[in-house]
Amino acid sequence: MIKQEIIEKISKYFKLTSFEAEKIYDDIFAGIIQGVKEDNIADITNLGEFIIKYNNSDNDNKKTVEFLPTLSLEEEINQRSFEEQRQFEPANYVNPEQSTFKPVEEPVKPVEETVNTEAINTEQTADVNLGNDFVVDDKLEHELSDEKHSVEDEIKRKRDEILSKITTPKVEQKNITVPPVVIPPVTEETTKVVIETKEHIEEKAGEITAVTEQTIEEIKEVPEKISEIITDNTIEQPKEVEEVTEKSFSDFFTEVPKEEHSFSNSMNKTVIPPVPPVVESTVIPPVENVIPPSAVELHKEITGDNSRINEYQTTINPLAYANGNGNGNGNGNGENFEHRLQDNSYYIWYKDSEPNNTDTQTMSYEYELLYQATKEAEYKSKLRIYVTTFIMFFSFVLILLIFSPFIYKYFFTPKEEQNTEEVQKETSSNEQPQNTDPNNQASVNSLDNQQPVNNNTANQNNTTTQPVQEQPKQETSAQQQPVQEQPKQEQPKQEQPKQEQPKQEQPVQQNTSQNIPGVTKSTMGWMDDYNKVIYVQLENGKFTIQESAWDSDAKANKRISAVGGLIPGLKGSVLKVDLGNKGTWFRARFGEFSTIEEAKQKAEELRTKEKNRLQALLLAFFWYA
Amino acid sequence: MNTIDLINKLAVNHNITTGRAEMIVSILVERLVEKLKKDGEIMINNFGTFSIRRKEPDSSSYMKLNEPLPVVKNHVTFYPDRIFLENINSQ
Repeated sequence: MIKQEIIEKISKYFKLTSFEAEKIYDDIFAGIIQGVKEDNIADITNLGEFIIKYNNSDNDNKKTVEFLPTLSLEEEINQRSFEEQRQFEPANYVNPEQSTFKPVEEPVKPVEETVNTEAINTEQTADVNLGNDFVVDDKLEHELSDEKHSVEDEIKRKRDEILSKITTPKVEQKNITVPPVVIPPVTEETTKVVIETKEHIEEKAGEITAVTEQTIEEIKEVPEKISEIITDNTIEQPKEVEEVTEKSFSDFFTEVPKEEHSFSNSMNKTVIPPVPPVVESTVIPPVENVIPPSAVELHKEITGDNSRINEYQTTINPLAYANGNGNGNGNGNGENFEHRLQDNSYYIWYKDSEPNNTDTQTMSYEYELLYQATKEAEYKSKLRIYVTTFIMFFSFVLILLIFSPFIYKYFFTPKEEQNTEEVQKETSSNEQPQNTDPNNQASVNSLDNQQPVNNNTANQNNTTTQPVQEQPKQETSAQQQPVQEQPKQEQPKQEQPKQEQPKQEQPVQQNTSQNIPGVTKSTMGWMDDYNKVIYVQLENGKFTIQESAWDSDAKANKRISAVGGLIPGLKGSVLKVDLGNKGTWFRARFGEFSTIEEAKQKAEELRTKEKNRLQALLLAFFWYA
Repeated sequence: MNTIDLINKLAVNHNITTGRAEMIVSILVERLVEKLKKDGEIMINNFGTFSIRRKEPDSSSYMKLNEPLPVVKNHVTFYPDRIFLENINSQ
């Protein structure tokens, strides 16, 4: 069946003949079999894996195929089963179509049981025991339909009951409100009386009138009796009422003045007879801070112990002093519960008032509240401290960021400028051996020649190439350029006497230093303190900017590339210098300028661009933060 | 062997594109799964039969732990046909 369906579908979708589709269908399964045979496994998406399994139990060691379904397939199948369980109803088993196609054993079992239970009471067991399924099903249908009906009836009945319960209470309340009508019991005598003639009725009416007259007379006598009773028991009745009525808490306060008055009267009356003669002499005046006796009485009534009168005495009672130790702070026997504090305030220790669970609970609740309040206060204080510290730190960082350009300008010197300073130190250190060691003059002069790195070899062998260098220098001197005379002056140091040098150098130095402000002459060249560079004159008479000196060649080249990025078109070069104890240094030089002013302009341009770039970086960092 | 190998094989043998072959295989698998879900059993000639079996979990362990019983799961089983087995075992 499924084969035909699939073949039809394939032929329909792909416009193939049924023969071709069938061939494809067969070929798919043949391919799976071949794949299993060759590779021992065939994995098909959305279906599963066919794996070969060796059956070791047999002697032939035959292979079998095991199928491992995919998770999606298993989930789909389990979903189906779950839906079946949800849609399960016992009535489905009774469906005649299912019973005809699938006479399953399981659903029949409960049917037999139900039928057998009925068979005990009825005589229809013979038909059922024949085993005819259709008969059983028909009966079951009837039973279940009856059950359904019965269930529906029960529901209706229960609904009616509920409705009646809802409605009936109103009727009952109405019956309660209506006064009960007393109906005299109906007896044989009454029936006879009713049947009697008018004469009997008249006699009875006469009797009733007589009875009514008697009752009226009795009623008239009642007020007289009542007045007599009232006159006899006028005083006794209100006393009984007072005793019966319970006193409220507010009543005690209303009664206090009366009791005080009675108490004071009683004191005035009874002070003299009970008090011993010794105490009579020491009559204690009434004190203002004494607890009022009304409070004592109130305490007695609260505690409900009127027998222990002496336990809660006040200071008015002189027995307290008599029994006590004389300090006035109690009798010392532990029976008096009166205490006086330092501030002359009093309190009473309620001995009988033992702590209850409710008191402890209230105390614990109060304590908990207090604990929570303290914790909250602590937390708030801590939070405040943290927040303030954070704000302080953040504000400090902000201030640093804002003023970072100024800080950088005045306090922080970058590495490049430090290196320039080192270069200056080098020059200062080089000055000494020039004067002291005449043997090292050749090497020093080689350093001062200030040629690029490519000409290092030539610089080292200056002594050998002296005659070669003399020729262009003489030609340049012939061109009569006052600025370019310096290299000329250096070379004759070795060959010619030094007397001529100052004569020619001084006017050049004076002209350059005097004309350009902020530039001073040094051994290396012209120092620019503002831009922190050195303008060095080359052999060809032009000036270069010696911007910085570095430890390694890579650093120097990196610096040159950076400066080239800032000022495009500015060519840079590295000059290697051996300073003996100081080590080797690589000087970064930029451009060739005819005058120092041009070099200075370029150096200023370089420094301003560097500063602008640094400020932009800092601002970007600030905004990012 | 993989599904791609099967598709390539079909495409080569029947002079059809790989896309078509892929479509054919996917249709076949879909129909098989639908039929299996619907009837609970499929018999394919010269290949085998797929059937669904209900496997009830071991309730004892769950009863001890006082946990709810898991849902009953169905499993797909495959019984290879005689021809399939012979083809595999033949050398």
